[in-house]
Amino acid sequence: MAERLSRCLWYAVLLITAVYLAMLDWSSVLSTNVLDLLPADKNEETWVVQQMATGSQGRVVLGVLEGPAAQRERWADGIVRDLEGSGLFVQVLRLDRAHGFTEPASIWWEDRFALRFPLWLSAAASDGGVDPSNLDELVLYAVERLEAFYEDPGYTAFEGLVPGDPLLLMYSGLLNWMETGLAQRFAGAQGHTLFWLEQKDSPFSEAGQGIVLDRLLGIPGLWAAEDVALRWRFSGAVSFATANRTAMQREITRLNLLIPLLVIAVIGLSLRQVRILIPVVCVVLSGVAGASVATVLLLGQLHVLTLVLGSILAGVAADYALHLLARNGSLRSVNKPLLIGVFSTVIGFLVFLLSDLPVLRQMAIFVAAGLIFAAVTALVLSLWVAPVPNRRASSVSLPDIRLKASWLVPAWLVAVSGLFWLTWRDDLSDLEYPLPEVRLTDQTVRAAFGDDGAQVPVVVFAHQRDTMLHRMEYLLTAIEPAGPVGPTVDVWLPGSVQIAFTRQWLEQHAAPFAQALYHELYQAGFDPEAFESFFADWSTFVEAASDPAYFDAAMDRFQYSLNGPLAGLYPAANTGQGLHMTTLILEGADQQELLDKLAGLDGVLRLDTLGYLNQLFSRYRVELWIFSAIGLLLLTLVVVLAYSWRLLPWLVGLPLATLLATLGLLGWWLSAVNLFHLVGCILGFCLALDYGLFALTCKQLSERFPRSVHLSAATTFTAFVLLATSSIPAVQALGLTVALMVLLGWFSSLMLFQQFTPSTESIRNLNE
Amino acid sequence: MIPTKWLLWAVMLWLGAATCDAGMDAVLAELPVRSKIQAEFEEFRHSPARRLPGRFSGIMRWDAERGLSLEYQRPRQQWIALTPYGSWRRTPDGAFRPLPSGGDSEVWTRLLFDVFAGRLDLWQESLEVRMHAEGTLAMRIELMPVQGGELAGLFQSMQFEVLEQQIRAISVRRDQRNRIEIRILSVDPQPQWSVEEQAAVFGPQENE
Repeated sequence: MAERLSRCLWYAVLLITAVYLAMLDWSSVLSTNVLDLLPADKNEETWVVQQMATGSQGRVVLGVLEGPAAQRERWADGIVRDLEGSGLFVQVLRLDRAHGFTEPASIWWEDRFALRFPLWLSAAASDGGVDPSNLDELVLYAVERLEAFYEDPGYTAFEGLVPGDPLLLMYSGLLNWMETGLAQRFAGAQGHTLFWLEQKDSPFSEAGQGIVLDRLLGIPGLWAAEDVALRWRFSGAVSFATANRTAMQREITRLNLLIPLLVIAVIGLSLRQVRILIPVVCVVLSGVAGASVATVLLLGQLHVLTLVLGSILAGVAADYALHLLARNGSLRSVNKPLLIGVFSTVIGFLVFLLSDLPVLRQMAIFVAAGLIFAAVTALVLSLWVAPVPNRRASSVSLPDIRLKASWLVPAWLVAVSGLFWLTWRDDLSDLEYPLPEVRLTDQTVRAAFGDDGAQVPVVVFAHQRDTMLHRMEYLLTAIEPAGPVGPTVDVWLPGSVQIAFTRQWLEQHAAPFAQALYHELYQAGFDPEAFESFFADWSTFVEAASDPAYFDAAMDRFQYSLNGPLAGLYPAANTGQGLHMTTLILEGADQQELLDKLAGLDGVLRLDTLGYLNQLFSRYRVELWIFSAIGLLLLTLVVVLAYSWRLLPWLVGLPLATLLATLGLLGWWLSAVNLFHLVGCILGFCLALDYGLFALTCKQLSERFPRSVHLSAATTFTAFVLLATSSIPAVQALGLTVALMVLLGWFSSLMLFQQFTPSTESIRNLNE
Repeated sequence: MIPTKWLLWAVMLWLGAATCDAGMDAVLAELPVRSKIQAEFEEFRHSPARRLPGRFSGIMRWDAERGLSLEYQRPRQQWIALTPYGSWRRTPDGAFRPLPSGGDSEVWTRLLFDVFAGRLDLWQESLEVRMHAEGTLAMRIELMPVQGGELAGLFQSMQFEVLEQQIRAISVRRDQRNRIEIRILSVDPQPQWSVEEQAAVFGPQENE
């Protein structure tokens, strides 16, 4: 009765799990963003990098229209209208059109005194050699600059600004902008029109992928009916995310179809019947379902990579069913090693919950919960599903592996010596499906935007705007003679010292300066009356500048108005986090020298998102080793408690030797290994331990070598060899390592079975 | 004879406004392919901010394939090259940098882009012909923005003075106090430029 009740209870749990999974909104739960696998806001640097990758800049799509100028001119505005009308983008800018930047330009104009006058005053002293308190000199400096402006036929397009700006506050800022060459980039190379698009939804969300990509791909349809020679290209996170998601889904579907087919074939050939497959599939499905529900409930998200790594779970869960249903003898020969195996593996994986790396935490919960679900289902099923009779028992004999230590030990030593050649290289791109075509398009599009790979984008950040400006100034001094190739934020923003000086100067000289300027303009042949708007605005400025918050408010206003590529120079969204950030692009003849110089500067970070994240990721390899060691210790403790410390060399020592041999072989075989080889080793260790436990228990009970171990090893090996053929480097690494570990683990369990002689005491313990 | 359309184009560029190669192409497409001209010019810019006009002078060079080069010699040396492949300003070290786009206002820039894109339908033309006593023929071509058109209010007029089949003067008037007057002083209809000189004058070319 109790047995039936518990069985019903478990079925109810499985039913609820299935219903919960069916009702989940998978588009929001399932993530493909590699950044979700990394720790959030651990330190400022990490936060800055993540912000640059996932903030509004991460939603940018760069577009390039190539072709004859007249045709581009005709269709470029159509592209803007089409994309604006789609409602999928919050910004659609044609970079060669000034009117895309109307808002920042108008704010800059309105606040020109707050944003530029402190810099003008400072430049008068430093560049003009003028004493700002000597008003005669100062106004002469101003008027000479104005005369020089009128002598330059190339720049009089800005003449219309002059009546409101005889000090050329705007013009000098614009000059700086032009001289840095970014304006040239915006204009686009010959034959190109550049577009800057910002998606409304994240490219890592369902809403920000397919529909957006379709719209962008559909652009050539605008002119399809006409005979035009235009070519539209674009690139952004959406291209990679969508292509990656599609390719990953295709890959996972392929593996999910092939692996069960092969496993069925192996089981069918081994047992000559396939009815066992039904409970095996039930156990695996319940394990995956329980794992998914637990992960979503506890973490609110399930990364697609966890599902891939979850193949670990499927491999082990299938083993539980096989051990129970393909056992040679009584349930007793299986129960204890099964429970110890589950318990030790769960503990081993739960240790990863202590990690800061979300990918490890997800994997810990997913595997641990899934194993518990699978084991309970397997045990419940074993109560009413009869084991498969061993029809081939009489005809099958164990391979004779009574190996001589004389060559087994040297063979192991040779394998292990590969550890000396083992090099580590963690690359986040291993997590993604290789997309050479998308990458090539990306390079082409970026090249059109002036990114030829020779520049070094740098982020300067600090909690105070002033500190940020100081750091940037220091950076530009430190990297002399290499300089910025793009405009820097100090074109717009004065520092606190300049603001304080300006305030003080205004208190003493504001009114007489205006009078002296009026007079000097007249003397130089100008008509002072034409500058009426300037003098009116000057009075307003002088009055407003007495407010202590005036300058900061103007800078904030300007920062929030920035759009398009300008927003990337001084991202406004970051102030909420207490950090001011600005980006600048540096160019140096010797990039390595440049990077060495950057390395020693506080609050300066090279904007190499992938490189930085790789570095961050590799830090967690150390963490993985530490937690693996802790897991191993706990596992050892479980074995000691469940069996005896005398069995440690057999139960823990052999899997450990297997692990070292596998790593050694990988060292011989591969040029570099990564985090996923290590994860494969951990899984392989758990499997090898399980094989050892079952072999040892059967030996103690004087039963035959458990055929479930053969079967488990064969199915797991088959499944992981198939994973090793994956195009995703991370899955490939995992598949190869586990396949090797399973092979060696199976071999070591055979060795254990044949070499181990159980003591009377251990047999008594087992019977107890 | 200096083609009227070319001068119209040159005048627009003299205003210092930004260019776009699309507009350039459209205008260039209508220009006579044979032309290669060099002319000395004098330019007076009347500005509301100044009591006296600014005076510029220099040499203009026109090559149907390479575009227009303006070499200002006074009040200081300055080169501007406007070609089908882009608009350039030559720096003192001889390098060519793109001419800044933009203008004194967003509307101003946008409308000029439209003009360069060949939208001459925004102008209405008038022609005045006078025969002088000595038998010479003088013409005045005047372009005025179409009433209610996009250019209305931005420009008052453009005038071309033609004497004996040569354009002698151009006047562009934005308003009473804001106008440009250009006088063509001498014209060399068959100038000879070396390859090096062409490269130094017209700036980067696509096929180079």
